[in-house]
Amino acid sequence: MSEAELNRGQKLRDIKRFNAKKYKELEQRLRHRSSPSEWEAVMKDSENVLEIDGLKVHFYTDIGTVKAVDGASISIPRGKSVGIVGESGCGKTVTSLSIMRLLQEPQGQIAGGAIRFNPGSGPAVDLSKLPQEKMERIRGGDITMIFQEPMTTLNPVLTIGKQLDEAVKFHSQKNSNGSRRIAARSVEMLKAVGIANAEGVYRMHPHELSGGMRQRVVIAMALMCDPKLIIADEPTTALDVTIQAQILDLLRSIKSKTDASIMLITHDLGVVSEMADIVLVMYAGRVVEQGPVREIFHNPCHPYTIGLMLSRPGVKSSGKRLYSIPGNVPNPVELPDYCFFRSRCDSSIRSCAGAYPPMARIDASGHCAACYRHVNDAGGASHGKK
Amino acid sequence: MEKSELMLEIYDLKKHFPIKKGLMQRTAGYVKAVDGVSFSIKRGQTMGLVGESGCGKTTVGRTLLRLLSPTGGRSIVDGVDIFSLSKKELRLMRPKMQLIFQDPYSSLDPRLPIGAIIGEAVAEHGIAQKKEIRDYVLKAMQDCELRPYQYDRYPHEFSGGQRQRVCIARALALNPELVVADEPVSALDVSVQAQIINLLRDLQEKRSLSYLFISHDLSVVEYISDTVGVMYLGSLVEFATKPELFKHPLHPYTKALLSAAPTPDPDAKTNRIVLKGDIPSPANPPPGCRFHTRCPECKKVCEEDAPAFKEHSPGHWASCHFAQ
Ligand SMILES: Nc1ncnc2c1ncn2[C@@H]1O[C@H](COP(=O)(O)OP(=O)(O)OP(=O)(O)O)[C@@H](O)[C@H]1O
Ligand SMILES: Nc1ncnc2c1ncn2[C@@H]1O[C@H](COP(=O)(O)OP(=O)(O)O)[C@@H](O)[C@H]1O
Ligand code: SF4
Ligand code: SF4
Ligand SMILES: [Mg+2]
Ligand SMILES: [Mg+2]
Repeated sequence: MSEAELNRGQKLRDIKRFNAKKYKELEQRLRHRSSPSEWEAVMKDSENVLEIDGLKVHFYTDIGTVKAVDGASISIPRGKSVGIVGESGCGKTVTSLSIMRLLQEPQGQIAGGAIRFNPGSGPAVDLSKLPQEKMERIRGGDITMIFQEPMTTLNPVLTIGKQLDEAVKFHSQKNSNGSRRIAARSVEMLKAVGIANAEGVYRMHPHELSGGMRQRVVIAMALMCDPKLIIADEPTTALDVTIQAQILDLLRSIKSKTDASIMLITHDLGVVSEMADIVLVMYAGRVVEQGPVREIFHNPCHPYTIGLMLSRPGVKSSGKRLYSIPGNVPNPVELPDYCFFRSRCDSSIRSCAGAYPPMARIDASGHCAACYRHVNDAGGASHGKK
Repeated sequence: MEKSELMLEIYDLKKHFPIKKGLMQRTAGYVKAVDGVSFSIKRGQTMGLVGESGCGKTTVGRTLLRLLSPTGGRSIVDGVDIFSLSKKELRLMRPKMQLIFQDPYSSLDPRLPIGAIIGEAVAEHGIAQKKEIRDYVLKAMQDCELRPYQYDRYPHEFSGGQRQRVCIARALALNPELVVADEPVSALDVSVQAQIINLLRDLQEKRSLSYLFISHDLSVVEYISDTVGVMYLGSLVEFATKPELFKHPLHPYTKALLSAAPTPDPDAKTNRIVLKGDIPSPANPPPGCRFHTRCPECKKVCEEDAPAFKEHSPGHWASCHFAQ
């Protein structure tokens, strides 16, 4: 065997050993019976429903540690909708699965940071440390999730009605609701999401419904328990444009009628611009820019955000060549210790060779970008992280 | 032979798929996936074909190339009636008309290196001499911005955008004149999408290719097309030049489709036409105007009489009783 092959073999063995250690650590953590003092938390801002602070999510794979989320911080204010955009693989879904504690363990683990959730009544909790049995109460109750593919949520062998009723029964206090009252509420909810034949659909199975109707049912289910936070991961990506328009209309009306916060994940800049109050742009596992929707669309500051906006074909670009960001996303196993976007950036400056850029404040609206180009503009960087 | 001005003409194209039922696989009816579609594409131009999932776009593309056997109609590529050719004559025509697929993941053989994938049809059609194939393929790869060292790499080592480049290189290595691109960028992220669209445009300019560009994304179609056709349930409901179609849509479905696409401008006023209900099944299309179950402008006559596909102003066709 050549030296290179021997080295490679050694490297693979090291990875295996490291992963085994990580699996064991997780097992120990899961066995440990934690006390409330370990998972109770204090919100930085009591107006927030959710505060994600420096979240790290790692996947311990055969080729090494995939840093799918590498220090992302996200705040979601009460009653607002926060849009998260970024390209495939940037960590959007992994972030939302971490909030729901649905990561594929033990390969996938929360490796650092906090996810503080404010249920309104009672103390805030750090979801990343909450015992699974407590998490089960929150999942589908105070926090619900709408997936891209509605059949991930629906059970193919149960009727729609049964599934909606069960969601309520599981999350409400015992005896407080009679079965008939629950059924009536389920039908009511189906009507609220625009299903015309609600009584009929209540008795149907998922396969009898079209894709758009299924997604409406999933949305009805998500609303059944008056959630504080709805996470919608590409809720319209699998749907046709005219059906997408119906579902976006529905989400908009829910937004105006409830005070639930919405975390909307999408790669479609059009969808965020219509639905979100606040937009976060993710790149390679980190938030690189955030701010009010108007700011992000009219005054994008991070070179990656600017590139994304320019790449989109539109009337104005007709005839001209489209802008395209050169190069590729960095390998998530070997993230650099400087700006992750540097190898593709067309406006890097001398300081970009240094450490990963801090979040720089652009203006008083809450608009910030992790980019050295903006560190000395408009009042300098707010060194949020060490 | 003199080159005709029209690269592609199709007349009343039809493709019906039998619905098989029961143990005996009896034919219980037909899905009229494409039911009478006519249009043409000028040499060197791009026609965009839009419509929702299942409306028949892919079937139009495959049938006109005779990759599916047609149920009816005519398809004329560069003056040659494709449906009347013998198997052998068709094979000789093949290099001239190529298809690029939607899914760059499943359309490449995972066991072959990229060079072999691109070279396969080049050898089969005798486009380059055996000894020269490697150089020929490398040139085709270079045209599609693939690097020479990637010649011996396997598909799984490529990203989605790179695989789509391989698919394009494979099609273009045969020197086609007509390319049917079926959702070539739909599976890709925006930034990668831009690279592929630029590549397709550059190649078109260099070789004066004609494209039938199938997509459900109106912004992409608006960017790349010279003319646009809109399909609904197996039929073309509107056809016009791009500026005309986007500025003066005549058919209520086109209007709804144009208004449905979310705009990346938070200040844009959305006067959205939200259509009611679901897309009907093409196995059982509604009588009269096929769009009448969802049309916001539907009148009594629409439920009974199917509107004709008529030319309302020069080059602008639509099928609606009330189009004007
Ligand atoms: N081999 C087949 N057998 C039976 N039905 C078919 C077959 N191929 C296509 N169809 C049907 O024909 C209709 C049109 O299909 P086609 O794939 O052409 O639509 P499309 O507009 O390209 O859809 P998408 O956007 O989902 O790719 C659909 O209802 C489809 O189910
Ligand atoms: N089960 C898994 N095992 C290994 N890597 C994973 C797994 N799930 C996701 N990843 C990796 O995590 C990163 C982020 O993925 P994801 O959050 O799904 O992206 P998206 O932004 O498209 O939703 C990617 O690099 C992906 O390959
Ligand atoms: S920090 Fe430098 S390299 Fe990174 S995005 Fe900003 S300008 Fe580009
Ligand atoms: S013919 Fe009638 S139903 Fe059909 S599109 Fe026109 S107005 Fe609508
Ligand atoms: Mg995802
Ligand atoms: Mg298709």
